[in-house]
This record gives sequence, structure tokens and C-alpha cells, in this order.
Amino acid sequence: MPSLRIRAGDLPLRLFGLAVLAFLLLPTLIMVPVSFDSVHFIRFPPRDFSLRWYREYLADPEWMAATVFSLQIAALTMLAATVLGTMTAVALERGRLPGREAIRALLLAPLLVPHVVVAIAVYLQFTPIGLTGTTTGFVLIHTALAIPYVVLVVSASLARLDPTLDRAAMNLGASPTRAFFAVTLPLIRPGIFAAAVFAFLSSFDETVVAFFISGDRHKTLTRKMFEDIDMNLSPIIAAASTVIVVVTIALMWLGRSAAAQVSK
Amino acid sequence: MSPLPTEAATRGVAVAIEDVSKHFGPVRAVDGVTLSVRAGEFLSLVGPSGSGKTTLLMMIAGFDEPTGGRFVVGGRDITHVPPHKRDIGMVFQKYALFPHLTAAQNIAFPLRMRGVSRAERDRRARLALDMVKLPDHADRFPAQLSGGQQQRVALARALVFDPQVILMDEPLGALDKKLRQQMQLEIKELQQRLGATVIFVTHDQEEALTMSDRVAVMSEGRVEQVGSPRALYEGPDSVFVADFLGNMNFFRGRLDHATGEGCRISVGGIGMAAQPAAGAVAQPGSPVQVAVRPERLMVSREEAGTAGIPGRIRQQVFNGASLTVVIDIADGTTVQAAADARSAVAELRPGDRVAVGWSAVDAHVFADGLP
Repeated sequence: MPSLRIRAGDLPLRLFGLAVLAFLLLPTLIMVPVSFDSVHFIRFPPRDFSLRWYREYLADPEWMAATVFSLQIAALTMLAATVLGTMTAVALERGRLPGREAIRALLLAPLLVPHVVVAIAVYLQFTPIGLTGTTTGFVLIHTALAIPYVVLVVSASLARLDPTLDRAAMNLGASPTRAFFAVTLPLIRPGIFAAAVFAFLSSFDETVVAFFISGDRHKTLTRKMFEDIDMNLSPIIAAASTVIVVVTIALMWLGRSAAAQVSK
Repeated sequence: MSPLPTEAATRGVAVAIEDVSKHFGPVRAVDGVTLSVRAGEFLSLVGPSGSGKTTLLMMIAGFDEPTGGRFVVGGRDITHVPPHKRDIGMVFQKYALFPHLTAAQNIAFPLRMRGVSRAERDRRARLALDMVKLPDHADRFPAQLSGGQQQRVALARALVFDPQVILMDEPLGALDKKLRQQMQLEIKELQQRLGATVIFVTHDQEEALTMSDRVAVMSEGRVEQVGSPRALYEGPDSVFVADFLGNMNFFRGRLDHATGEGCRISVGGIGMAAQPAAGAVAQPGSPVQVAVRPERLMVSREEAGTAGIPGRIRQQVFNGASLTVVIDIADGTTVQAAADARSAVAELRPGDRVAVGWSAVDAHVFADGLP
């Protein structure tokens, strides 16, 4: 009997898969060789190898300030979103909440609303109270945007966890809080870790809102790149992009190995 | 005999379930249940699914609040005490072992929650592992244990902190038959050695009969009958209990004459004797059901002058220890009789005409409320 199963060994299928991968990855990866070129304009393919643009990137106080600022708000966003998102997920999955589905839908709304709409709304709210261009302002809005990721990932971990374990812990003498820290938390830790990585990245990579609410002194790396594209398109942008890509890939890999532990 | 991890020789206390109900809107999951469990007693709650036995158990553990009534454990009203302050051990259906803790850490968990020192925790966890015959498995994680071993760890964890009562929610349901029978005997033996009060939920009536001091049969949120396994098996109060526990044959008939000592009935025109009718059986002439266990049914080849209800052998099934014959009665009812495989019944062949009878003490009469 002929089978409908797709065989991974089919040559056309393989080629097609490779083409899709190339389409997805090449535009990003092209920045990597470009960043090692020595000329002061972007060309492809690069014709020599130098670390000039990395030196410039590291030596430029504005680029450094933007990078540090981005890392800083990403770290704070990660902390805030992970704690709040985990608490929300526990309430949604384990609590006796009336209107649970409505709350879940509202929480996930930031994923669906176009970022530019959020950005304009936030800009209009933040300007009169002086929150634009501040760490607090960035962390507030980035946390709101990151919470849905955390809620989704941690909810998935909780859903896989047998709720009888909570009951068993309480039956054995653990108060609900203690049961959470002694049983639930260790078991969903890999999920929380993965969620934290997503929260960090969602802030670190965020561009649209950052474009609106960055100030002169406090701007994110993404906003700084936008500005430089306008002013002087130099391979320093390629170097900065490569840094972002490397940080992203490194964190994704960390997150994935954490997620792999969950399913073990 | 392995030492006990518990400090007290007997800690089981009495449990009083007083008029407890759990209503979900119009649904009465548990409907006015009153039961008293003696200290050190093994009581089983049995019933079909949806009879309320698990809901009742969850309320005793504190995971669910009753809508009426109260629970008194060892003289203390625990109806509104949160689960972690109840001092009640529980073995869950799927064990609910903590997957991130080893067997020993799982067992030490309730001691840790009670602030017992590490050295003392280790000592008692080791004793508990000895008690359930897993001394070499202390450092294994639940995923590295077989179903039967997980069951033993769960048991040790529920016993190690000397709870006042131990609840078990179908703890053997996931085990294969042979292991289940072995665990039944081990749990029973442990319970007796510890003098523990156990409330055991199962849908397996055979398990309940094997293990319990007393059995409470539940149906539709109510307790139908409570008694020793033997009393229930030999003296069911209702058709439901008669049918639920063990195998039972039902004959349709008519009440001829009833007294306090016994009654006369007729089945298909044949007069027979039986126990006094249970419950409120009506007037002579009213329809009744007569319940007789297969092993109490007497079957003989029909010859001239044989007393009994006439029937015809439909099938004969050999099942090792005994032999089952399936018999069609004249009115269309089918009954089964269990007999020794070497008895005369073994000579009967499908199609043979037989007469079916019983001793009066083995026949229970109930009003026939069914259409």
C-alpha cells in the first residue's frame, strides 16, 4: 500500500526546506560578514577582514550608553514580567477565578494589538507625566508587553503539572504558600526560566514603542540603530546587529535547553 | 517483622461523619451521609462512579467544603479546618509523588513541613522505607520506580507522620491484578499493626470485601447499607446492595405468605421458602424479587418428583477453582450457579433439563419496584 507519509529523504522536499531556511536566515546572517569589513560603507560581499567597526562600536559612548540602557531595561523587565506573569499564570490555572477566560483574553491583548497603536497610546500617556525617556517608563511598558509571553509559557508548564501534587503537599502539612514554593515552583522552574528569557528578549528586541518614548539621553539600542540609519549608514550598525543576534541566539539556546528539561 | 517508623503504637482515632451533604445546585453529590468510623477500623466506601464516595473522601481531606453537616475527627470538629492542619494522611489514586524529590525525600516531606530535624527525618524515612520493603530505593526518583514501588512510597509517605486517619482513594486501581491482591494483603497487615484508622474508597467491591472491617455501600450520594463484609454479602438490605456486592441471581415471583421468621413465595407457580422480606414489603400477592448467590443455588437433574424451579442448561463454563452453569428459567430469566468442578453439576450438558432450588436462609426477598 502506498503511504501518505512524507519521507524526509525526498530530494525536492529537502531542497525546499533548505530554501525556506535560507529565506528566513540569510538577511540576518548577511550582517555578520559585513560587520567584519574595513571600509566605511556597507558592501556585500565584504572584501577583507577587520575588527574596526567593533572597536568603533565599543569606543563610542553613545552606542555604549544605548547598549547598557537596553540591557538594563531588559533585565528589569525580565524580573518584573517573570514575577507578575508567573503569579498571573498560577491564578489563572489554579485559582477559582470568576471570568477566568475573559481575564486571560485581556492579558494576551498586547500580543494582538499592533505595537504602533500601543506605542502611540503610551506616548500620549507618558509625555505629560514625564515618563518618556526614563527607565521606569520603559520598564513599565515593556513589562506590560512581556507579561503575555510569561503567562503563556508558565501556564503551559502548570497545565502539564498534575494538580493533585498541590493537594498532596497540603495534605502532608504544607500551607498553600509553602506548597507552592516546595512543590509547584521547583517543578515549573524550567518553564519560568524559559519565560524569563522570552521576557528579556521581548524587551531587548523591542523597537516600535522604543522609537516613540526614547529620550535624548536614554535611548535603546534599537532606537539608536534607527537614528544611525538615517544619519550615516556605517558598518557599525552591522556590528551592533551582530551583537543583538548573538545575544538573542545565546539566550534562545539557554531557554531551549531549559524547556528541554521540562519535558524530561 | 520490620520496625515501625511511627512513634505511637496506635494513633488511629474515631471519625464521625454527621449528616454531611454536598450539593452543586440541584445535584446532590453527597446527600445527608452519617457514618461513624471506629478508632483503628478499616472502613471502605464502595459504590458505582458518581455515587459520591470520592466527593465524601475529598471533603474529609479538606479539599472540598460540605454544604451541610460536619466532620469530627478524634473529638475535634474539622469541618472548617484547612487541609494542611487536619493531620490526615492520604494515598492518592495516582500516588501524587513529587517527581523532583527522591523516594526518601518524598517520605520525609510531611516531617519537613512539621519542622522535624533533618537527622530525625532521615531516620524515620529509612524506617518507613523498611516498613514498605523498599530499603534500597531511598535515592530513586519516582520516575525510576515501578507502579507497585511508587504505591509503597506513597503509602509510607501517608503513614510516616502518624496521622490520625488515613484516607485512600482507589490506591490500587492502576496495578495489575496479581500485584493488587498482594498490596491488598500488605496494606491490611500494616493497618492492623499500626492500629490505623483507614477510610478506603474503591469501586472494586471484591477489594472492599477482602480488606475491610466494615463496608459502606453508597449510591446516588447516600449510604445504602453499612456492615461487615460478611453481613452485607449474606444479608443485603436492598436490591442495589444485593446486586452490587458479588454476583447475584434475581428471580421474579409473588409473595404468598410472610412472617417474622421467613416467607413463602412462588416463582413461576412453584412455591419456595426464603428469609423474611427486607424493607417494607407489601401485602401477600405483591410482586417480589428473590436474590440468591450463584454458589448457594442448588441445581439437580430434573426427574419425576424433583422439587424446584424448572430450567434448562444453556452453557457450562470452567473457570479453574469452580464451574459456572448458565441456566434459562421458564419465565425467560437467566441465572448462574457456581459449583465444584468435580460435583455432579459438572456432568450436566447444554440442553439438559434441571431443577433449581435453594435453602431458605440463602434467599433474600425484596419488593419488586421495577417494571
